[in-house]
This record gives sequence, structure tokens and C-alpha cells, in this order.
Amino acid sequence: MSAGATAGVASRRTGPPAAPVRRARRRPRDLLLPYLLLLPACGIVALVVAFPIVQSIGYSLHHYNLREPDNAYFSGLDNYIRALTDEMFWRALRATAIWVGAVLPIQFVIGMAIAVLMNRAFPGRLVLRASVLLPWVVPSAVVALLWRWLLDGNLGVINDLLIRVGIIDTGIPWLNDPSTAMAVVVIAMTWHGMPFFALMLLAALQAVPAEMYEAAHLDGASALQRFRYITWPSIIDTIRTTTLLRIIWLANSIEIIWIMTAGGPNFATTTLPVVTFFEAVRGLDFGYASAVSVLLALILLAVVHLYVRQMRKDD
Amino acid sequence: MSAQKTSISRRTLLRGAGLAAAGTALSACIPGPGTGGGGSSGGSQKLRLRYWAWVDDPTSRVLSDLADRFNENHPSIEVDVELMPASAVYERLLAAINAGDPPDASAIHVNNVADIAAMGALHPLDQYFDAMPDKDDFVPTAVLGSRLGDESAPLHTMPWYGLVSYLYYRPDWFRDAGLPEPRTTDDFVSACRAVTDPAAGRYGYGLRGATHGHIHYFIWLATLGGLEAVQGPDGAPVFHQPEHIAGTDWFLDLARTHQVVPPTASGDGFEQLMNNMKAGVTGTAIHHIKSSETLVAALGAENIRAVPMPVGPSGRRWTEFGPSMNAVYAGGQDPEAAWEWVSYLASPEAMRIFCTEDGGLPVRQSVGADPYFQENPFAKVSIDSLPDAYLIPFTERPGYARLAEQTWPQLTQPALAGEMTSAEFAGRLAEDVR
Repeated sequence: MSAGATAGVASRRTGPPAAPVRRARRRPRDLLLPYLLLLPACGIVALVVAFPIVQSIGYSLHHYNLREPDNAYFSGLDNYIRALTDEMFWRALRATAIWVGAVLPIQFVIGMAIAVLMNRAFPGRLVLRASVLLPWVVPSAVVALLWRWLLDGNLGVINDLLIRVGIIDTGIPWLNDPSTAMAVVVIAMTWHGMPFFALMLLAALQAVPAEMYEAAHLDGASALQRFRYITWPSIIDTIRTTTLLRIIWLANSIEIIWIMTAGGPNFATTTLPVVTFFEAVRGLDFGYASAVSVLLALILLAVVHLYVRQMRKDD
Repeated sequence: MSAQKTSISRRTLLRGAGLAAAGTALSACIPGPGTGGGGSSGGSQKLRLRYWAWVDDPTSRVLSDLADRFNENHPSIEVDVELMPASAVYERLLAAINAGDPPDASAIHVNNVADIAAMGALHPLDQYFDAMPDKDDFVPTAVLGSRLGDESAPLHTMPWYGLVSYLYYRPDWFRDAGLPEPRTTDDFVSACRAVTDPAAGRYGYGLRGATHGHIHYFIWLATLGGLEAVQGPDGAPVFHQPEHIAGTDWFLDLARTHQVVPPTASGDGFEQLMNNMKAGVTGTAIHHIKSSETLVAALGAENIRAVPMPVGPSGRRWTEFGPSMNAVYAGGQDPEAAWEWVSYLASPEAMRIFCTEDGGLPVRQSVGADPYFQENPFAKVSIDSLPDAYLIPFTERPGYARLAEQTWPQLTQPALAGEMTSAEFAGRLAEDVR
């Protein structure tokens, strides 16, 4: 510690207020150093986040199809107008809303129930924790194939079981009927993503001090009251973060739908990412596909904004 | 707006998009046994040719072995074979061509040739082919396939092998029902009705309602009314017009009226088609020789047979010839050296080896006459069907991929369920390739 600083401390303790200590003048190199240290991280973010976003926006403003590389030109908002006037875009948007709106609450409720269960001490808890993780660690593509075979209309195990117990007489084409296709992809995705909620909520539950429950118990609080007044407020931030992340992931997810139904039948499971994927990878229309993905990103931004604003209001 | 005036830095845009597409496509790629390296090797004078292809069995070494044989006899060339899934080849090709770095040669699906040719990426092969002393040995349908069905068009690709669609059927089912093998479309419908038993989970026909099932639809339409009921003289679709809609009615009635297809038909693709045959769910299905081995293994040689497509009311038969071919790229290092390689693959020796191991049909008459192919009943049916085998119409049209991979699989469900009229169904399909 410098002599000046020591004198300052002493004066605070004993004497009248001292004159303000003059800060040592920092050299320009010291001022720049933090920014220089941040530069690699900024560069990486620019490369892997900002550049693709800017490039996608750029493509969305061009007529650009890989089949016609010599016919790429700036087309302004044409791709956006095409999307917004295309009935398929609005159908896909509705399907995306149904997909997210169905999977999210079911995953959350099941995940919460499992988290509460795993937070209790009982024999075999470790085995349950490990087995709950299983759907999460299986790759999405494998999950989709697994469910596709389970639900196969002719040879699937689920139809076979239902026929054996006498619930149905002949196999149901689950994936080939518009009235059941969305429901079964929702079930598959729920199974796959539910451990995410279970684990995150379990971690939050375990951070709640046990003393609070003991005190509430002594005060005669019921189980429901303990959940409402202790558990829920303690884990609400985790719930908000996980649901927000899940909304974004679900709205962007494609692999389970693509592998199980390819967006069919009769476009019943065609969500916006399916449209983007088809237009870019099959249609090779990068301009239009980029416009659809930019619109999806804007819709998601709006949803996230509303969600965060509501969270702040609740606070 | 003029493209000339407003074009952005095209090279930059194309390279960026090419890389983006490559990123997407690469996720589906499986590295093959070759090294995949391009350009001349640093230490030697050998020209290293990049060749992309697919084989049905990804563990097969048949192409690498052929490349080894070729390399031994060509001291100045070394072919690097890179295998990838069939579905990835086209996407990678487009990305590579746009990025200015195509392979020297590749296998290519007939459906994709028109697009790649329109980009000016293919090196025409007429001059080399015309100089071949044994060029007349090639099956004319295959050569025509390399010209995309137009005699006056350049030879875009080198014929390699072919696949001819025919009808598989279960002789044990037919025998039990007292039915002869299906020779006509009427026989076919009657037989399908006779063997269908939904309570037992048995159906007469394995209809392919998922992607690329339109091929079978067009086969039936052309069988029933001739190709002129599918495609007009100018190449435009006519199958949706009122005078030809009876063909679509006949096809959809297999589900709507006769109910001889499984209830899953609208979503059944190749995988389900084969599994349904193997599991005894369906009694007939259209496919080609490449599925014969797995069907025989599952059902036994006595319980699976093939016949040429049934003839229509006019006595005519029509089926699909699916040519597999190799392309040489104009942007490659040395098109002449690449020609050496693809012409070697089409040589009698290499064609015999490849078709024997990979299951394709040789497109050289001398190789087709080989006892191996003549004694194989499925190859025999394929060869017998060749005179009535043609390219599927509309493959050269830009909307063909959309028809095959989006419109068809999405609309088969309402069409087969009777929720969409034949005219609407055919009209929506025709719209893609108009």
C-alpha cells in the first residue's frame, strides 16, 4: 500500500476529511488493454454470430437460387412479399405456434413432476435420475427414427399393443393422418425434451434451503402452501429462463418433424423451419429461404420481447 | 430490374452461398474410403482426380478397387474415390460448382443432369464417345438417357449402368388365390382385390405415396394411356387435362374404391415399401433389381418373383429406365483425364464388376449377355423390359424436384383418402412442371 493511501486511511479514522486523493494517471496502453483482451472474443462472435446473420439478411434481399448462379440480383423486399402473400407461410406459422404451444407446457408439467419426485429421498433415486436423462442424450435423429418405427401403421409396436389389448381392430396410420400426425410428433418431442426441464428444475429445487420448509412446516403450512409460497418463488427465475430457451429451441427445431413426417401429410406438420429447410436444401432457393428464416427470427424476437416484458411486470 | 445493373459482387455471393450450402450438405455426408484430396499431389507428378459417387452399401469397396485397377494402368493419374449418400451428391455438387471447386468427375442422377448442364458445369462428351470403337455396344436407351431423352442434345454424361422398374409379386399368395401372374392392368387390379384382407393386415399393392412415388404414378399413367397421356409434344404436362384424367382416377381408385393399398400408403417410401413386402403386408410392389437380393433373403426365392409391368388396355407397356451415369466437370483439372476414368468405369470389365457387386443392370449389350445376368431372373426381367423402358418425363423441368419431394408426398394423403378430386390432385402436380 502506498504512503498516500495509508495516510488516507488514517485520516478517515482520526482526523478531519482529507483532500481527495488524486488518481494516478493511466497510460493509454493500460486503457486499451481490456479492449485488446476482449478483441478475440468479439472477433469470434462477429464471425460465428454476426456474419451469418448479416449474410442471411443480405441473401433475403436477393433473388438467389443455386440452380441459377448467373441470375443472382438484388430484389429488395420481393422475397418477403412472396412469403407474406403465400398461404403456405401462414399455414406453417400456425403449425409452428401449435407445435411450440403444445410441446412446451406438456414438457414443463412432466419435467416439473419428475423434478419434484427426484428431489425427494427414496430408494432407487439415482437410477431414476440416470434413466430420466436417457431421452435427452439420445440424438434427435435417433429419437425420430425410434418413434417413427414405434408408430409405423403396419408394423409398429404401438399398434400391435393396442390391437392385442383390444382397443383397436386394425392399425392406425398415426403418421399418415393429418388429425394424428401433429399429435404424435408432439409426443416424440415431449419425450425427447422433457429431461431438460426436469434437470434444470431439479437443480433449482435443490438450491432452496431446507430450513425454509422446516419453518413453514412448524408454522403449519400445508404441502400446497409450501409449494406456492416457498418452492415456486424460489425457482421462478429458472422456470422463466428455461421456458424462454425452450420456446426458441422448439420454434427452430426441425429434425424430429422432418424425419418423422417430412412436414406431411398434406402439410399438417409443416412448420416454418421445415419450409426454410425445404426451400434452401431441396429448392436451393437461398433468397426465399433466408427471407422465411429472417421472418421467423423477427417473430421469435417479438415473442421473446413480450415474454420478457411480462416477466418484468410480474416482478 | 436489370440483373446486369444491380448484380452484387456475384463471386463473393456465390462463394459464400456455396460454402453455406456445403455446410448444410456436409452434415449428411459420410467420408468414403478415398482421401478426397484434390489437386496435384505435392511430391509426385501424378494428377489426382477427385471422383464423387454413391453405392448402396457404404462399406462396399467396389469403386475403390476399380480405382486401384485404373491407377495401376495409368501411372500419371491417381483417382481418389469419395463416397457419400446419394441424396448428398447433388447438394454438394451445386455447392462445389458455385464455389468454383467442382470435382473432376462424379456419379450423377438423371434428375439432376439438366440443372447442372444449364449451369454450364458439364464437359460435353460427344467427341470422346464418338471416337470409341465399341460405342454401338451401349444400349441405345442408356445413351439417350445421357442426352436427357433428346437425340439432338449433347452427350452430357457417360452411361454407366441402369435400373428398370418392374412388378414384384408374391407367387405363394397368387397360387393360394388361384391367380395367374399379372399380365395386364385388369389382371393386376383383380389380383390385388383377391389377395387383400385388411383384417389380416394384407394388401394387394404397395403404393409409394412418399417422396419419388410419382415415378410409379407416371408409370401407371403411361401404361394406361401411353406417354402422350402424360406429356404433350412440347414436353408440357397433359395428364391433368380432362381427356386424360381417367388415368389418375384409375390410380387413386386403388385406394379410394378397391382399397387394395395399406392405410399407410400416403406416407410409405422405399423403406416401408420393402418392409411391407418382406413382412407380408403387401403382395405386389414396383421396384427394380436392386431390391431383389433383400426380398429373396427375407421371403425365399420361391416366394418372390418379378414380371414386366402389366400391359394397359391398349396392349402397350411402359416402364421407367433409370440411367446411372458419370459426369465430367468443365471446371475440373483435366477433363480428358477425367474422361479416361469414366470411360474405364463404362468398360466391359469395370461394368461387369460393378454391376455384379452393386446390383445394377449393365448398359452394354455384351455385358448384359453375360450368363450371370441372363441366369438371374430379376436381371432377365429387367433386360426383357428394356424395350419398353424410358426416362421418366419432366426430369429436365425446374419444378421436378418440388413435384417429387414436396407436392407429391404432401398431396397423396388427401388424394388417396378421397378428400381431393383426381383433377385437383393431378392439376397441383402438373403446376410444378408446367
